[in-house]
Amino acid sequence: MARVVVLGAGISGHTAALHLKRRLKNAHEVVVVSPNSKWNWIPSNIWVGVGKMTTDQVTFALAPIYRRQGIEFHQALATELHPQGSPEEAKAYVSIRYTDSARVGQEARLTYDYLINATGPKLNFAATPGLGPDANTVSVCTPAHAVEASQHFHDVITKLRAGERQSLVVGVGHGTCTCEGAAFEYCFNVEHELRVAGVREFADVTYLTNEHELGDFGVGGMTFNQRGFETTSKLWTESLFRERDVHAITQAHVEKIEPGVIHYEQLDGSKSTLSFDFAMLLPPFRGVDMKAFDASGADITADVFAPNGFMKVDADYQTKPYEEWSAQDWPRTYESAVLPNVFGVGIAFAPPHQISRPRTSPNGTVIAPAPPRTGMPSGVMGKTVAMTISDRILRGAQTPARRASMATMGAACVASSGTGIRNGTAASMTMYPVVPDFATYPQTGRSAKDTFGEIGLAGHWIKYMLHVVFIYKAKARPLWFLIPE
Amino acid sequence: MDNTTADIAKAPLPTASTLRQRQNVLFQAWRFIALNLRFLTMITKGDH
Repeated sequence: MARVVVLGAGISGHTAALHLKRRLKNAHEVVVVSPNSKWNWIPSNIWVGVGKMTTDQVTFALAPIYRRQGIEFHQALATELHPQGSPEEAKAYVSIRYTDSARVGQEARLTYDYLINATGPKLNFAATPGLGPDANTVSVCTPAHAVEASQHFHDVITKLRAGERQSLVVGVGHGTCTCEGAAFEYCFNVEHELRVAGVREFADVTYLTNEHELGDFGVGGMTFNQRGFETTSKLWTESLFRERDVHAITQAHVEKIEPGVIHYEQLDGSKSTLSFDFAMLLPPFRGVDMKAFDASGADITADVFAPNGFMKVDADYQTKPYEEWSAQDWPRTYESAVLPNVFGVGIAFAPPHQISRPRTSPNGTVIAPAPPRTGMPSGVMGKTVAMTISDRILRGAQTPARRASMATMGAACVASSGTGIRNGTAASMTMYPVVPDFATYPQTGRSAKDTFGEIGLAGHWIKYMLHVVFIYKAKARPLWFLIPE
Repeated sequence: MDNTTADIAKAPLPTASTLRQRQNVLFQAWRFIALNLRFLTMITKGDH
């Protein structure tokens, strides 16, 4: 009997665990380790952050689902990886520290035959002094953060109703952040709710971003075909900002945040401040704090993980200039570069480089959006690795790995605002592939047919449909596996 | 150089007809079907 341990129960890890159990049934063990007791459909945290959904609508308890599926669940944090075992334990194992109230702080070892690292990001608020819910800004990264953001936002609406002018800033809190699409979506939700509340004219809304230009979204921008013309995502996004009267500051690295004041540097080296009454700024991500050791106990963390804490997999990590970047640099199998039977998926794998062109200010400050690898790509990676591992368990260890590169995978981003059947709207975008492939698509790096943007009520319905369908799937309801990642 | 404010000021505004179309339930019902089909095409084309 083989044992597969999955670290993390986010979109990638949970998807992997469900597919593993579906294929391996009860002949083999599937074990999930997650510090959180609940699964969270993160895209809908945006709606929690403006008070349009509750945390119960975007989360559910993992334990009952895993019990029903026959998956062993440990509510714990993975702390150490011992891929060669240790003098006390011959098999490869991972050390964990429990986080549930009954066993909090207790430590244990879980041996494994295959390991999936789907630990997601560490929210690195510490990278920017004054950033985050424990300091001067709010966040929508977790349901609890989003609830707090909503409370602050409604305090602002109360002040606006009293005739007090307010400044709201939404964006990213560091020059190397990712998930600009989520910040963009939250920005337009805030703007929408201000209009619904009848106080829009008293509020200044500003989008603060590290993108070189609007519409970059950390993927180097897109080119859409619209009504017979090629349109850039830059122009398409700028049109939306003009229509909604939202200000934007691009090419920005937030240096520090004091109460009510954001200090930021831009790519030209200039330094400015921006006053705010409400600021939702996303943090940069880094890998979780997990160490790796060899059989003798020597620290091999630097071999297994990149300096940013993400796991090195089958990508080309050779440093090269932007002009030499290739779709071939991106990983296909997500197998660890140095550890047998270990995989890194979702946000936990180390990307070879950014997708957008990285830039540095004259002061040496790196202002470069990190590549997004959440949502659909995360799910596809989780499923692909689950298929590889189950193939190897069922058909032999030499079975070739399945492949799913971000250079041969599409992604959809639906930024929706409002609620109800008739009152919402959304900016819907898809791109194929996520990582531009100029060898296959010489003009823009992406398929013109499969890369498009559209604004309207239909996208809002799609976003709500995705909310319902993906929670259904994550709960492993009947025929869940027929729903694509 | 951040020219974003100037670029936004020059960006095209949607016409009243486009804005109506974006909220028209019948037209959007058609777009809902069309968008889902395009999403599915994109998903099946790539690794999934």
